[in-house]
Amino acid sequence: MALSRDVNPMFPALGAGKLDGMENMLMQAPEDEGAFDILNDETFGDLGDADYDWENEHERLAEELEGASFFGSQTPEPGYDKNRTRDSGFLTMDRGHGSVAQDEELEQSLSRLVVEDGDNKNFDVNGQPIPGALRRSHFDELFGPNSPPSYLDLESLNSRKNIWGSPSVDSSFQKPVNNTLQALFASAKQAVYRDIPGVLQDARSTPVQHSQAMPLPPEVPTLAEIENSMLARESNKPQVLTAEELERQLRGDPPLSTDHRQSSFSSPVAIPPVGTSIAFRKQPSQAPSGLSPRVLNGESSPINIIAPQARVLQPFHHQGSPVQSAASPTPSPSPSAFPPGMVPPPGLIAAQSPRMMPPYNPAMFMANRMMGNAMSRPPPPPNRMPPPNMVSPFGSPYGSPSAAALASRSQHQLQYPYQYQHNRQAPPHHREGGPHMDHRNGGGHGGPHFEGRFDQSNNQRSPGQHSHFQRHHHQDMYTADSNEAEDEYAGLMTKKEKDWIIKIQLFQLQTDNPYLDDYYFTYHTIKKKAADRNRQEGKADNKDNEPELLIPNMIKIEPRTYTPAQFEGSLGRLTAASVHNPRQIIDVCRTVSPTGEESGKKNVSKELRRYRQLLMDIEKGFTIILDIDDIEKKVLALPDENRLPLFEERLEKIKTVYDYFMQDDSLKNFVVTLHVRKGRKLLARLMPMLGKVQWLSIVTVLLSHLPVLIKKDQDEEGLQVLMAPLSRYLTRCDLECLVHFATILQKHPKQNEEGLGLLLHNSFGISLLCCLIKAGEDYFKSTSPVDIDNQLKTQWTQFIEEFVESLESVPTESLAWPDRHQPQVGEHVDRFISNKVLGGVEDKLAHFSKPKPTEDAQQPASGQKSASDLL
Amino acid sequence: MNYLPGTASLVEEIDKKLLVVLRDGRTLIGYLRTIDQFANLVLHRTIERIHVGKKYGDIPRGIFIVRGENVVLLGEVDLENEDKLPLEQVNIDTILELQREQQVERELEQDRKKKAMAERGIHVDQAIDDF
Repeated sequence: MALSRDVNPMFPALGAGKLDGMENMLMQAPEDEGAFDILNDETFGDLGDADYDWENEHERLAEELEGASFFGSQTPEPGYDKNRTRDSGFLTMDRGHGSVAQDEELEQSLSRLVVEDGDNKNFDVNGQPIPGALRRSHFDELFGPNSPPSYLDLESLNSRKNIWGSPSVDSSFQKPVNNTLQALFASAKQAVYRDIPGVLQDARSTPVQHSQAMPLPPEVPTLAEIENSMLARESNKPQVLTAEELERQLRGDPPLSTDHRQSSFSSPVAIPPVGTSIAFRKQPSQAPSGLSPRVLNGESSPINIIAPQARVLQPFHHQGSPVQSAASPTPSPSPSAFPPGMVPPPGLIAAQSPRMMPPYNPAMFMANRMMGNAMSRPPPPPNRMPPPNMVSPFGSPYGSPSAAALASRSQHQLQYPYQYQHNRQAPPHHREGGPHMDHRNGGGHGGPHFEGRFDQSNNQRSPGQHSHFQRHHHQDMYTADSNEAEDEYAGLMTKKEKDWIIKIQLFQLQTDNPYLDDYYFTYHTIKKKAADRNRQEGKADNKDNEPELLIPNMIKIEPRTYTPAQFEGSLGRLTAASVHNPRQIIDVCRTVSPTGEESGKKNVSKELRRYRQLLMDIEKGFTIILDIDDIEKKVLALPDENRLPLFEERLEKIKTVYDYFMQDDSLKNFVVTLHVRKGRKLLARLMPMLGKVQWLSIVTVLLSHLPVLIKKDQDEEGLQVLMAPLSRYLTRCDLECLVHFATILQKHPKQNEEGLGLLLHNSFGISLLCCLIKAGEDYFKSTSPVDIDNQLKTQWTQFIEEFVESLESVPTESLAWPDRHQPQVGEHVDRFISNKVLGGVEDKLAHFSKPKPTEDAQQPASGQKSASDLL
Repeated sequence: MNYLPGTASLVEEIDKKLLVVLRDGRTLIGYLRTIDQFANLVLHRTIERIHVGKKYGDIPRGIFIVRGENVVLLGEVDLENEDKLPLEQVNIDTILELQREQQVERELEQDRKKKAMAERGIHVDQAIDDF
C-alpha cells in the first residue's frame, strides 16, 4: 500500500488513481458473511457454541499475517503481541487453553475410578506387583509433545496423572527425588558436558518443549544444589544393596524381597517408542562409557530409552556407587521435575524407565548365577512383561543395553545368548543351573539383558528358525514349570490393577434406565426374585406380587455435558472419546408434539385423512403415556427432594392427554377416539393416572356418551377394556358420586331414551351397572343409615327401581354377562325393592350371582386379563 | 471387591490355564496373565494345539497377546484331567502334515459341493468362515 501510494502520483496518466481504487476494492471487498457462514456450517456443522468464535480467531490470524507482510505500515496495538499465535499451535499447544476445567473434571472422574489404596503396603502378597512395569504411563514421554494430544489426552491417559494411583500416590512419587536423583542428575550432566558438549544443543530442544507442557514443581533443584548434594552423597554411600541384603536375596528370603519390590515397583514404566528403535541399536558403540544416548537421541523422542546403559555397565563390585544405588530402589520423579532447558541426565531418566533397569541389580544375578546357587527362589522378576516374540517392535531398547553389557560382562555371560541361540539341543547353562535356574533367567529374571539379546536374535532370525528356537525355549520352560509346584509368574496383575479393571467392567453396567438399557435382563431378574419370594412365602398367588421394579439401584451420575476439546489452529473440531464420554455418533431425540402436523396429501379423501389423523393422535397419546411411565420409574430412583420437577412434568403430560380427550365443549375427539380400539385402550391407561377431579369429569363424559358408544360397540364388546380402571375407582366412590353417575345413566326423556335397558344388552354396560350397585351395597353396608343423606338415598332408590324395571323388560337370554359375577346385586336390590316386585326378576337377579357359562368364559376372561395387564 | 460373576469378568481366570479359541480357528492353551476391559489377553507359556480327528499336536508359542475381539471362546483347563484326554498326541510335523491333508480334503469337498450346487443352479459365495 505504502509503495503504491508513493508511486501513483508519479504516473497519473497510467490511471494509477483508478488502480489504487481497484486495489482498495480488492483489499476491502466486503465479505459476504452470510454465505461464508453457510459454507462453514456445511463443512463443520453448526458450531453453535459461544466459546469458539472462528471469526475472531480468523481475524486475529489475519492480523498477524498482515503484520508480517506490511511491516512498518501498521503500528501494533498495545495488546497485539499477547494475542499472537506463535506457531501452528500444535507443538506448543497450550494445555491450559480451555482445558483446565476439563482436566480437573477428568482427574476427578479418574480418581473415582482409581483404586484408592495408594499405599504401597496395601499390595497384598497375592497381587505381587510387577516391579516397575506398567506403573505409570507417561504418554507425553512416550510420544512427545509432537504427537496429537487429542488422541492421547483421554482421561485415562492424562499425562500428569498416574492412572494406577490416587493423587496421594503421585505425590509420593516425587518426594524422594531430591536425594538420589540429584546425584544421577549431576553425574550424568557432567558426563554429557565432558564427552559431547556439542550435542547438548540439539538435545536441549526436547526438554524445553517438555517443560512447556508441564508446570514445574517448586522444589526443582538448581544445578549447584544438585552438585552439592551429589558431593555430599558421595561421602555418605547409600546402602541400596548391602551385602546382607544380597545374601538374603540369594537365600530367597521372601519378606525382604517384598520390601524391595515395594520400593521398586512404584517407578513408572516407560514403553519405548517404536520410532527410536533403530537408532538405538547403534548406540552401544557410540556411547561406550555411560554416556547418555539420550543426548544423541533426544530429538526423536523425549523419552530416554537407553539410559540404563550406564547402570548395566556397572560391574558387580561397583554396586555401591551413588549413581547406581540411587536409581534402582528409588521411586521415580515425575517428568516435570526437569528444569526448563536442562537435559535430563541419563540416570534420572533411567529411573523413569525401570523396565530397562531391573530393581534387582543385574550384577546381583550375575553373582547369583556364578555362585551356582540354583535353589534360591528369586523374587519375582522385574521385567516379566516383554515377551520374546511379542516385543520385537519395541525390542531394541533391551537389545542395546545388553549389547553394551556384552562388552563388560564376564565370559560366561557373554557366551550365554549365543549358546542359547545356536546350541539348540541343550544350552549348556541348562545343565549347569538346572531347569529352574534356566527358567528364571529366560523368563526375565536376568533382567533386560537376557531378553534384549533374545529379542535381537529373534529379529535377525528367519521365521523358521524363530519358531524352532522358541519351541525349545518353551519346552525348557515347561519342564521347568512342571518341576515347580507354584507358578512363579502368578500375580503378574496386581490387586490394584485387577480392581481397576473390575471397576471399569462395573462401570459399563451402570445405566440410567435399566428398563431401556437392559430390559430383558432386568425383567428376568425381577421375575426371578418375585418367584423366589413367592416360594419362600409359600404362596402361589402371584397377583399382588406382580414383578415391579421399584428402585433401580444405581448411582446417579450427575449429568456432565461433554464439550469437545478445541485446539488452537485446528480446523473443525477434534473430539476425544473415552469410557466416560463415548463418542456421540448420532443425536437421537424424539420430539413429541401433541398437536401433530397435517399429512400433506391432498388427494386422499377427507374422511380417510381425518381417520388417519385420529390414529396419529392416539399414537401420540400413547407416546406421552409411555413417557409418563418412564417418569414414574425415574422418580422412584431419586431422592425425595429431586422428585418434584418430575412430578410436575408428569402432571403436565397427563394433562396433555386429558386435554386431548376433553378438548373442547363439543368433545368431538372423545367419541371418535373411543370408536377406535387403541383409543379405548388409551383412555383405559389414562384413567388410573388422573386426579380425582379429572377422573370424575372424564367418567361423566364417558357415561353420558355411553348410549352412543354402546350402540357402536354392540358386536365388538371393546369397551370392556375400560371396566377395570372404572371399577377400581367406582368401588371407592361415596354415595354422592355414585348417585351422580346413576342419574347420568338413568332414562331421560331427551338424551337417553332407552336408559338402563340398553346397558343390559352390553357386557360393559351390565358390568358397569353391577359395579355401581356393588359399590352402593358396600357403601350402605359400611355406613350407618343415620349418616346417609336422605335425598341421595331417594335418588339411589330410584336408580335401583329403574334397574329392576329394565331388568324385567329384558328377556333373560338377551342379558349380557358381566365381567364377574356379583352376588351382592341381589342383596342390594333386596334392600329397596319389595318382595312382590322382586319375584318377577328373581331369576334374572340370579343371573348376576352365577358365574359365567364356561363356553363364554374364555373370551371375556381374556379380555379382562388383558385389561389388567395393561395397567 | 465385588465383581461380575464367573467368566464374565475374567478376573477369576487370571493365572489359570486357559484354552482360548480364536476367530481364525486356532486353539491356544496358556496361562492367562493379564487382562483388560476389552478382554485383551496376555497368555503365557502358550501352546497352539492342532486337532485333526483323534490326534493332536502342540506347537509351543510362548507369550501371546490376543486382541479381545479375536476371542471366540475361552475356558479353564482342568489341570487334573488334562492328561486323560481320549486323544493321541503326535509330534508337530505329523500334526502339521495331517492338518494340511485335512485342509486339502476340505477344499476338494468344497469344490465338489460348489460344483454340485452350480449344476443345480445355485451359486454360493466362497467366503464362508469356519466359525
